[in-house]
Amino acid sequence: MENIIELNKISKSFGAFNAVNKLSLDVFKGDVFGFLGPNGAGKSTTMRMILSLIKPSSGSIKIFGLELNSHRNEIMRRIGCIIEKPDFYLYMSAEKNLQLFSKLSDVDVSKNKIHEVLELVGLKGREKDKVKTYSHGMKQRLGIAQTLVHNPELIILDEPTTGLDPQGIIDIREMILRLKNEMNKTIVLSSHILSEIELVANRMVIINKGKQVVQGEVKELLSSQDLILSVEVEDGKVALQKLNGYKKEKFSSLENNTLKFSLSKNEIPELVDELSKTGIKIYGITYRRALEEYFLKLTQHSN
Amino acid sequence: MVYRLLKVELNKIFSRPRSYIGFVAIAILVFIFQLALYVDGKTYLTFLIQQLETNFSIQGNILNGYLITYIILQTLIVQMPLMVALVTGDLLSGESSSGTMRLLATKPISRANIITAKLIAGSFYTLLLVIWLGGLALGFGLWIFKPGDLMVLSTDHISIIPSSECLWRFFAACAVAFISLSVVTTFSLMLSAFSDNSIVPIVTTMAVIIIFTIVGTLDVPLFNNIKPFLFTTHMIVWQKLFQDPISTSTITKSICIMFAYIFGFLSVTYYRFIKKDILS
Repeated sequence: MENIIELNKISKSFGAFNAVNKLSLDVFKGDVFGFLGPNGAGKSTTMRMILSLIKPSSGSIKIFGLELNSHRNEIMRRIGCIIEKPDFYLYMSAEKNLQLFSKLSDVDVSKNKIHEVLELVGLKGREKDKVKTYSHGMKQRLGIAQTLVHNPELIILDEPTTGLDPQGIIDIREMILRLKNEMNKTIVLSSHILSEIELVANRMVIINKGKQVVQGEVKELLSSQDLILSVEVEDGKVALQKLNGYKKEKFSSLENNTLKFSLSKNEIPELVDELSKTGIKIYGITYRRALEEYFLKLTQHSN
Repeated sequence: MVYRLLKVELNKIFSRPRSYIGFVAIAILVFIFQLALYVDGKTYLTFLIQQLETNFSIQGNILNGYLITYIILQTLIVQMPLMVALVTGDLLSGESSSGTMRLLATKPISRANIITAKLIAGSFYTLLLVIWLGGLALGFGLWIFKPGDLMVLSTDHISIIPSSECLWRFFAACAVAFISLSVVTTFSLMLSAFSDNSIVPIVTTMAVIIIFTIVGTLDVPLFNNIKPFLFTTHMIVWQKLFQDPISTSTITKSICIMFAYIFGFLSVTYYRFIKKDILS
């Protein structure tokens, strides 16, 4: 597999604060790579280092097999990106903004190509309007158009669905899948929503406090049999007493009368049966995959 | 790549309404001056030379196009740094505050090229402002008031510049004024590299110019030692082109000092911007 991005123990400190700490990861050709982490985990800092907006304090970055430090312009010519929110020259039209940024990408892009890309992102008919008249969703679409206009091999999207309405989120998701499936692009996508990554990415990394938590194939990481079962009961302590040590080794916590068990899917009916036999009132049963539960905890903790 | 980037930068500058404020303001001010001097210029001039007329007989068209241009330049060139800083102070910080710096800095362009293009675009804008001011003042001045010998009154002497010499002196004055304003351009560009907010470099540039100008005009022994090192002291050197004989050494020295400032400000700008983490 051809390595598109190789981060080798990169770190970034701002004074005493370590935003990214010895992070290593690999993105392969054709990947939709999910970059997950709660707010402040170091996702944007890492993406900015990949895009040479920020210089790493230590470690090395290779993109397309080339050292970023020594081949920056060559690499950047082959990348399209949105970092945080897509910002444009508000006093110019969408068409003019795209013309301008494609010129800066050192590629001669025809007007037809610009119109084609604007049509792809659903902005046809608004190309002559000044960007200051655009809604956030339209700017986000224009941001995607800007990443595509010079036909890059690698696309980096930092939280591209932030602030979009549900239909806008679906549109962006579909666009990402089209870019991968029809145009064979490699895409790095950051988000703090696991389900969003799960729907589009084939590989992912979760980072927290600048460190890697887990990295691998999305299917493998999420298809684990380990589940976290949450059972909301009338009185958690009484329920535990009545269970009398049943599945004790699977019990993980009790919070606000919600018992949590770490078990596999086929153990759930057995446990629910046992709980019913105790006569305790059950108000709800939900389960999450262990990684999902872990990620939710990370997110809640960071918030 | 710098040429491509320069075209983009000029496009950006001239797409913004803010860039035209200076041109409009200059046009209005030149019009007001010329109208005022056309209507009441003779009274104004009589007041200026009444003491001279007790000892000298002054003949000819004193209130001519060259004198009008000189008065306008002397008055308006003081305001030019504000008009320049309004655009050049925003060149880097404006991109940071609007978020477009992120996009710009992820393109296959070196940061040094970004500054170079912005510097050339900013200098071109400054040059246009100077040409606009000089052109309007001189063009309309000569058209309305006709040419004549230029009488320049200083505190200790009077210079009479023959009409035939005025034109090249005005061109030279505009060139020197452009160098002076380039100090402002590079100074505000340097401040712009340190800030992610476009107001800060503009206001700071103006504040520094005001402070230096006040220090430069105060006749205090302590300040006399630092005056030669203030760039504002040298920014008015264009006026020396309207003395007879022209003090070439003074003008050359001031130009050299201004170039030293330009070089210093640019060095700091390049160093800062190339090393800068773009977090905006």
